Amino acid sequence: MPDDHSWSKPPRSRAARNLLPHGFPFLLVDRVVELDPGRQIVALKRVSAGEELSGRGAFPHSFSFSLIAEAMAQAASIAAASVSEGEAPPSGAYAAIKEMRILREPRAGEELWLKMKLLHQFGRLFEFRGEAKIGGELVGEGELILRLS
Amino acid sequence: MADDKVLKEQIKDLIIRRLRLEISPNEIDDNAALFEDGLGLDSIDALELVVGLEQEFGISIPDEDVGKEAFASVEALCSYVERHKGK
Repeated sequence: MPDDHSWSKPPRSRAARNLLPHGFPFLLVDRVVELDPGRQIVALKRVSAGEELSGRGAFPHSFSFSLIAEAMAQAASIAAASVSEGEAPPSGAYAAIKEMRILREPRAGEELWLKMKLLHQFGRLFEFRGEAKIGGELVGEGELILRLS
Repeated sequence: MADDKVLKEQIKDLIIRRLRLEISPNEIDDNAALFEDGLGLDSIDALELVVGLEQEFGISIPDEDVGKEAFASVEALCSYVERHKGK
């Protein structure tokens, strides 16, 4: 997935990930690979067999469909919140899923690449479109709206 | 005055189409509030209307304060569109 990036910014992995209020086991972004603050992001989630939330999908040790959508939202939330310079950065919450297509569940040992791009912003609402891939295989795509608070 | 009526119909059509409302244009009162007690729209609908106005009229709503004024009613939105057309 990193081969088709059209932008390049130094990774700000830990600092950017700290923009999420989530903790284990619900933090679904392991690394921020590329970040264009406020506009787009590529992030990575490594799916492991030992995750608290795995095994609740259709297959044992798989990452359920809804968690892919949540991981996409968490990545988008980092991108949206990364323009803030305050000491208490805003955090994003799902306001709406406009469309979402999940094709298969990632399994333990697979890397889920999350690429999200801002489409529109109005006030505290951010509309993103993005995709989730494993290697070059598309496993999820959709549009979602986050509210930053 | 005829242009004003046409614009109001265009705005109502945009609202119904973009927000997938199951009502007809003549059910929207020109002076009724679009949000809360009026049509009952919410902030997500506002984002959809902002995008629709940009794409179909080439008009931007830069922030929430301007949005509150512009989205007060169909009448207010028509007035906003007329003032910002071609800018």
